[in-house]
Amino acid sequence: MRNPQTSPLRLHQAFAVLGVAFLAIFAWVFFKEYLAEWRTIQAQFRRLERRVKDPHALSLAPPVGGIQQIWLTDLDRVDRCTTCHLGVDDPSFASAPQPFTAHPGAWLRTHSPDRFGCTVCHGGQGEATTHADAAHHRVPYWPEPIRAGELIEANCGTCHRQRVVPQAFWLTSGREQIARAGCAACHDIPGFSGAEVRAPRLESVGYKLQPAWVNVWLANPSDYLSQARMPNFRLTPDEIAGLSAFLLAQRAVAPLDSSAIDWGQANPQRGRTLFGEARCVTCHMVDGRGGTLGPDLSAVASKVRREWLFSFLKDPMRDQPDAVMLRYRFTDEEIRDLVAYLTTELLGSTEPSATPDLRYQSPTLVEQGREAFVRHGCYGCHRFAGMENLPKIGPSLVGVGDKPVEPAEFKGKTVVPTLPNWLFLKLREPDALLAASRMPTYAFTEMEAAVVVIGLLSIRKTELPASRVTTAPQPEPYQPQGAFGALVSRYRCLSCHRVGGSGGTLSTVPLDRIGSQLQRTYLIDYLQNPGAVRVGIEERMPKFGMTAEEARTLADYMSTVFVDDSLDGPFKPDPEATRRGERLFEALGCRSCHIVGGRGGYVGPDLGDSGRRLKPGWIEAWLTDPEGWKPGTLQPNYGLRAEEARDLAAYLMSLTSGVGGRTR
Amino acid sequence: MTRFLRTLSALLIVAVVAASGAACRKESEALYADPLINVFTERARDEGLTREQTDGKRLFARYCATCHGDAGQGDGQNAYNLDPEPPDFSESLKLHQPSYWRRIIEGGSAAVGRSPQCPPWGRMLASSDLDALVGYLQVLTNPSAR
Ligand code: HEC
Repeated sequence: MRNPQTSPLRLHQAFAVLGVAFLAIFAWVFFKEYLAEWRTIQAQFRRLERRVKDPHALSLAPPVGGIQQIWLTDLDRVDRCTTCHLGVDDPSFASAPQPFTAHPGAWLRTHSPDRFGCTVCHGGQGEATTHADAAHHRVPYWPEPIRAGELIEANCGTCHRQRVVPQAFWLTSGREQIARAGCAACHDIPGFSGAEVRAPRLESVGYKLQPAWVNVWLANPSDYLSQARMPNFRLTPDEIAGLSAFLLAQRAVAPLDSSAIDWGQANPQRGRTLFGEARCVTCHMVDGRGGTLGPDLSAVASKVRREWLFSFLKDPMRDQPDAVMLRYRFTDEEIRDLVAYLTTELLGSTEPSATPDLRYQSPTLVEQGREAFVRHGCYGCHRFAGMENLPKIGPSLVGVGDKPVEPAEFKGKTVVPTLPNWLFLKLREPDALLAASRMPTYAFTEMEAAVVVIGLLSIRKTELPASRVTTAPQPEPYQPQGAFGALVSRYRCLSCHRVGGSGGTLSTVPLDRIGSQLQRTYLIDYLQNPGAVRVGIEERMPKFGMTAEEARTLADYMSTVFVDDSLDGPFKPDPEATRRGERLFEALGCRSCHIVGGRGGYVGPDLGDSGRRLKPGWIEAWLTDPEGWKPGTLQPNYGLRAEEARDLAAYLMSLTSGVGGRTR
Repeated sequence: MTRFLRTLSALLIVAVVAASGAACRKESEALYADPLINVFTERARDEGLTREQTDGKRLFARYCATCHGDAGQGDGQNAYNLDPEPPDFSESLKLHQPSYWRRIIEGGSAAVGRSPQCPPWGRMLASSDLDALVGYLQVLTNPSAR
């Protein structure tokens, strides 16, 4: 039976217990808040501040107290890092211990904390107010731990989307590597286009290659060329047999007829001289020396057939409509000698094998080869008729910087299972992570793979407001028409030179305003007989064997169209100005980099014949703002006044005696 | 009483297991490698340069080495065209303070009353680039500044 009297007493007891518990919880919360990590840290900071600063500076310093936060409304981010990192924007804390150290370098000058906060660049959990919660250390499964300092340039790249980011060397090398390796031929990658990869078309390759070479190459391209750009597809012997049959059966366009050539008359020695004169090494490596725009030719004889080579040198565009290689104006005899040099001197079989006979190729093998060709996505780099609309075979890499990775994928590896490591392992050894992969193996060095990872990590999922993003404008492809256009196409000017931002980067001279920089008569001369303008540079303009007529057509066009009116002012020789210019030339030490009268340095161009080469308006404009005309130039800016630049121009225009670059 | 003891021992066991588990985890985590980061740390260790010094080295190779030589010994390919020739930094720089070097880099050797042969870079390179160059020159003169 219930006792009505006990009930209120019990209630009292219950209230008392609850009350005490409530008080305890309250006290605990109070203490926890009072003892919070950041309060201790702020107290330490105040003590440090008193030591670091003199009383006056101290009285000017803003008082520190409470949780600090930076709210980036457009990014929906709150960073409370400055609650503890109190000295971050104050140079007096440059040598203070963490967390009070001032930010190193000049980064905050361009990225003020008010506008960028901290986690935009550094990652981590901005809202946290304890060391652990902010994910300061690399925490394996944390959605966004602080970005390790080594990889921080990945975060630069999230906003800076142009390929070259001057202050972010690793990121830039990563992006260049991604472009060079042709990743975008198989993957959708924001900022990269598959069309950048220019591998040869293969519709007529059956006429080109030595059958034995095909097998070696397919098994592992770097066995033939250590610098091969094609990666290793880890093909099975059956696939290699099929692909080889398929490739050798491709004979869309027959090579030009060379049956009339008397190879017995060939003179490899003359071919070698011609090879040097035509400046082939500007683009082609031979025995470890030369450029990389074209393929290495050190062992070309074991790769291609003589008849094909003859035809290719005569007209590279015949079976390669968008060949990078230009069409020289060689005679048949010159081509014969060049081919002889390439096929006998440059190693390999002296006796090129005959065109392999098609009769022995089984159609099933060819068909299997075609299937392998499609399966491995070869058409991504080697454009192939009828395969233009096939999809890229790799997964899209949009947002790859936020790709979730499962620890299970690292099975059997003692590697911290983070996304950066996942990407790194994948690039080094595509099959290493759990699932077999069709991705080919690149001969990346560790460093190359590492910078590619940085490039990839910069590609994040979230869209950023346009005001946060910097990009480089996409240049319009430049395709001139008419007689000029035909010559530009024939001599492939745009393989090396840029116009309107599009074109090659081998030459340091864009053509956009060349008509205002160089005199017409000089252009005509130079196109026919290009010498070295800067002796210290290996890459030189090839000797095309251009006719005078062609040179005139090109020079006329450039002198009327590729001009910048702001540079073309009137110029009258003035002996006074010339004398002042000469004194200035010596006083500034221009001679330490430029030759005049056979004496001087050869970092910059020989100026001995400036009066025949350059236009005065250009000299003046260039000297007043070299960086503005050509970012990254080695020409220092002397801060010249306009009159001084004009005097120097007058002096340089009076120099017409130089031998034009040949002095050394 | 026995009940209390039983609970206590159970608690103890749980605590020991948990503690050893935590210890094990710590240990195994330490065995895990971070191959990507290692690429950079190993390189930094080989070169023995800080980030700023690495930037300085890159700038030096681009803008200065043609005259001063890759290691600043005054043996760049353009050195022999100069009069005076660029000095060997490992000797010459000891005679001056870093602030003096910086003035030369910024305003050219003419800015300190010497020949005009060393060009001024102050209008072209950012102030942080000049700092980086000075930092790298320190490495060249005094390998222990690494
Ligand atoms: C055109 C060649 C040239 C280039 C390029 C050049 N220098 Fe010099 N530099 C010289 C010459 C010559 C001297 C000696 C000048 C003198 O003693 O009058 C010199 C002197 C110096 C000195 C003073 C050395 C001493 O012992 O007191 C410093 C420091 C210096 N250069 C730094 C640089 C840096 C850094 C760069 C690159 C940003 C650079 N120089 C680029 C030619 C060059």
